[in-house]
Amino acid sequence: MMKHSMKKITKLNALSIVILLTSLLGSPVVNAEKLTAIQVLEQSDNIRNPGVPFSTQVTLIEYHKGKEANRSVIKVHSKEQKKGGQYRTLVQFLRPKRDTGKLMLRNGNEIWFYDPAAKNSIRMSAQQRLMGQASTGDVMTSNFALDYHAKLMGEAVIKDAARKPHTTYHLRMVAKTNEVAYASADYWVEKGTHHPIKAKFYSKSKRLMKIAYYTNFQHQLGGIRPTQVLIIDGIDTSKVTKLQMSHFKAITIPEAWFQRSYLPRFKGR
Amino acid sequence: MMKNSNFKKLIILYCFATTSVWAASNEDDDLSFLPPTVTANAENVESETKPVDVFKSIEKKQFKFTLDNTLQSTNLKDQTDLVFKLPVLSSTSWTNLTRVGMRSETALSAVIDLKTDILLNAYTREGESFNGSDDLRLDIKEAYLSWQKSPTVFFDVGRINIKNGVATGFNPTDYFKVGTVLDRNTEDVSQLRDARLGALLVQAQTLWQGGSLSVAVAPKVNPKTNSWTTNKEVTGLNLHKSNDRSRALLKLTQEISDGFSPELLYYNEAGHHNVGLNLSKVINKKWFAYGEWNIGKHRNLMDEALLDTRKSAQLSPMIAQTFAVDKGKSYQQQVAIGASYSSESNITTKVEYHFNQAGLSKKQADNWFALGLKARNPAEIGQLLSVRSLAQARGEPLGKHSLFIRSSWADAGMDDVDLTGLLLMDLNDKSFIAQAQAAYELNNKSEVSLRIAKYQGNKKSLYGSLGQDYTASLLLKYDF
Repeated sequence: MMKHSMKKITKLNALSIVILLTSLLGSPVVNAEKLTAIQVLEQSDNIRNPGVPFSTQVTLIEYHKGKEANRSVIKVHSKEQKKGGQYRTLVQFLRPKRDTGKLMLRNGNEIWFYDPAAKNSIRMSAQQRLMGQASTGDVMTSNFALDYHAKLMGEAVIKDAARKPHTTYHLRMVAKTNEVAYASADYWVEKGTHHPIKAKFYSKSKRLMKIAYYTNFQHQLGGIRPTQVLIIDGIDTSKVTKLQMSHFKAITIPEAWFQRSYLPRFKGR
Repeated sequence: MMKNSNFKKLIILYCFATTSVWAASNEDDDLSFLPPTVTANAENVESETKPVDVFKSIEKKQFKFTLDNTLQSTNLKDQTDLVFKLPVLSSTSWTNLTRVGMRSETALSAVIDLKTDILLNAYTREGESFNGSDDLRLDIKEAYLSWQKSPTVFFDVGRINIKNGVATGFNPTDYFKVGTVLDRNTEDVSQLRDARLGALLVQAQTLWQGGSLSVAVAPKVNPKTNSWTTNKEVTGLNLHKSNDRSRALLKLTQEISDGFSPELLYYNEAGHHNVGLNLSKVINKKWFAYGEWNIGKHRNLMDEALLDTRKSAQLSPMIAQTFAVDKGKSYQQQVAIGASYSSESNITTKVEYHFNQAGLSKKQADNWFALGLKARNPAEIGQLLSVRSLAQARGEPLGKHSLFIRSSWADAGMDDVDLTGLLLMDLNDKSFIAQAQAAYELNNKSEVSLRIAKYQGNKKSLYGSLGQDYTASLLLKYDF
């Protein structure tokens, strides 16, 4: 059963997706002139990181050669850590039905997976959460300014997923530690709004792992934020995952939730 | 000179401009990877949210049904190759196990839930006709009430599965594992842990930021045979397996630093004290290390296995001569330490060293095999083999020092195919069990797997002395 559950992790990697979600929330920031790379990154992080604990429902649709191959639904509960500014995240699997009730917890570099059928939680490495097509969530770790060094490469006009051009800052990012999901990334942030437009993530061997496009900007939790991400598998580009976020809700999350011992008790909120 | 310098600047500017344009246009080439089906609603403007089904986190009643079937064929070794010779009817045999499972969670009120996990098992065996009372069994793995007194205080009462431990191949602190595994059709302890009976107990738990404390008390249930609490026909609760002794467990977890939360355990089994510890720590993105330790007052495996026959004066004189003295109880340690590595190609490997101080020493093992060769009747062989049965029931290695390796490869070369391999080796005699499993996910609801286990070693070795040569299993699973 646990093996089977691990399979789900590799297929869905919901935690990563949650991290992605957290990265999509925030409020617009007023543009400043002549920003440094790290300032652009921080502004973008401010957009992506909400000021309140929240939950949201995420629908993951995996496409292969343009055809839908898999669909799953998760609920994400996330809360910023007072110390350090990183996010703790609890992911609850809702669909398909066989996965209902499974959980994944990330608290710092601690990752646990819980299967209610096995009544057991197992530890995972950060690398394990990167496995699978939908691990695309990891293309955006929760706080880039904490995880990466950044260099401003210049300005560039690039098109978003709807083929609409945007003037952007092009940032090149290099991970500060080995624990960060991807070793390096290129990141395009719209000038003025600091909306994320596109990102490309690389492994340590400089292999392109994921390409992400941020779309469907909507008013959510007090700001305009992207609610959909299209993620192309860098190794097999015929695989694309769409992440649709909905039902955003500011919630109260007790600190005690973010530990392994709580997982068998978790019901969601 | 000046003219030349300006010219150079112009060339540099031109190159930079053309490079930028080229780079931008290259970036837009990535859009070709997005098929129209994916970008249908990718307008980068605020738009009405497309209606999406809302799935409730908490449902008043949740039922999950599963159906699985395991067909296992066992190839037995030639009797002449065995130290412990037991009568067998044929060199191969097959068994089939079909199970229907139901797991439910019902909210009786806003703070009280009823949780159940029930399995109906049907066995068929080669050369035997199906007999309902013998071949059907209903296992109530769990059935308990859970009361949430506050968001961080909980009480539970009923039959509950309590699982402890961070290791994969051997869990010294998994105290409630003894005698509760339902079916031993795999050598993968992580799979065996998934299917076992819970114990009848009362539990309380409180949590705080970064820590928790829990207490569980399980009473001894009178082992009356053929009673509804034990093994009466199909529906006996088998409490003689899960509650054969009184037990109490106290567990404290506290985060000490980022990502490091040691778990300290105190376990009392029929008056005997045990102390355990679980540790795990991330090393980097690909590695984490873990350790599990227990110390408690026990007999060694051999003395414990022979205890009842020794007490009842039924121990074979030959065995009594070799294992003449019961050394009694003493503090024995058990350890499992290991590390996990995950590669970029989706392969996760765990390597563990296991130490069981109560296990057979080299001298004990040599004597055991020597007696096995001399044993003339099934009663003597049965007494000798009881040490192996005891180790198995306790979920402990039979030898003192073991090596365990488990490797799993998700999406192995193709989507929906998973491969898992494991090796369990006794470090004294180098005998081992190797098991390989390939699983293919047919769709969202069903999976088919093939599993093969091989038992290797000379006939006077812990794994080489097992009766089976290899087993092959075909597994089908369906989730409703």
